[in-house]
Amino acid sequence: MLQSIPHVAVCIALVLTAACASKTPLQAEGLASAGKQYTTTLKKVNSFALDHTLEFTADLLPNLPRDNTTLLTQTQAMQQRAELLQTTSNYLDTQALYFAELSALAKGDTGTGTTRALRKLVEALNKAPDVGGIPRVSKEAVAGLAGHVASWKHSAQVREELIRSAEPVAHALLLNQLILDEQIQWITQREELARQVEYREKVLKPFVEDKKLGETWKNAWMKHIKQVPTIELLEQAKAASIDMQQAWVNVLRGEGSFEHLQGVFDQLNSNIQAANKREPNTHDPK
Amino acid sequence: MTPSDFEALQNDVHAVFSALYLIDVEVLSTEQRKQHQQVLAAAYLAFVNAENARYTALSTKAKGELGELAGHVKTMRTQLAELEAPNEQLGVLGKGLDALARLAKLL
Repeated sequence: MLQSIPHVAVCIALVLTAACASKTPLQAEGLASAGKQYTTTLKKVNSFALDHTLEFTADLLPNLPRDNTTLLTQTQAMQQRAELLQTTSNYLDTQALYFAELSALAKGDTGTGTTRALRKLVEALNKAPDVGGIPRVSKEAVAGLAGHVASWKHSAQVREELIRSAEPVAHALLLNQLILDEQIQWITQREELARQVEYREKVLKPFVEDKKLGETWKNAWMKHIKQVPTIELLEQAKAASIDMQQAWVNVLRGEGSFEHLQGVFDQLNSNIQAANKREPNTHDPK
Repeated sequence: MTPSDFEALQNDVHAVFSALYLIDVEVLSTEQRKQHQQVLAAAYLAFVNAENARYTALSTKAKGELGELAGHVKTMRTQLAELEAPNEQLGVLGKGLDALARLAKLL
């Protein structure tokens, strides 16, 4: 009886190991799917950031000197903004491709095409983009992350890939976070100014001028008190981005579930759609 | 110019643009409105270009020259803090038009 214990222990260990190993591709697959959704969502925020700035500028232009130089310089500044955001969009596309290939690998596609594609994408993530003005993400912040790859929880191919991409992907996710912070600042500063002008014109002036205050005034007053939906949306995007960084560390460790992340991105995407449909603010300072 | 110096400059430019944006032009004379348009255009361009410059790298040339202009913008912001009347604010900001326009070109 005593002699049989080690055999039983070995059997249990083997069963447990097999159970964990069979979970691993699913976890990498879950991450790949959440990763695709994450990059798609960030691309939408990126596009929203451009639209928001363009709209604010277009509303401001009629209040600037009506000459060729003014129009030209303001247009060029916006063209530069559009180019910068296009670079960001391309970088997010590279990340989306990476997650798609990782998904193929997790599903068992270990062909040379998949591994070669992954290698190239990791190289691209390592290089781009050098967003020099934003404080550089320290490579040290993610150094040693490859050491977190739980070898016994991943199949050989997935393990090899995760070790290679642990740091470049973490670096990319951190950079995304900084880019998102910048975009949030662009939007919130403009939104705040527009809000103050709207309050002055639609709430304060009619009130102090002793005008008849109808439904329009009431709605404008109530709107001023509530949190700006756009800002709320950006806070959600920021939280989802931080979740994604944690999810990446979790998958390296062979832990975690991604179902909640998919729910977060679903909600975020529907809020972005709603924000795009929302009636624009009055940005006219007059 | 260090990243934190640049951030301070960006905050000052934002404060100056905000002050101009929030001026109620209804209280200004025709001549003042024209001046307001000029300074508002320069300040917004400096504001956008500062955002763009932060998103990309600052050129070496810009880093060298920004110090002097950053001082002008900071002075404008400090003087603004003491003023309430829109025409007085516009007076301060109007004097800074050159600095704002140079800044917008440099960034």
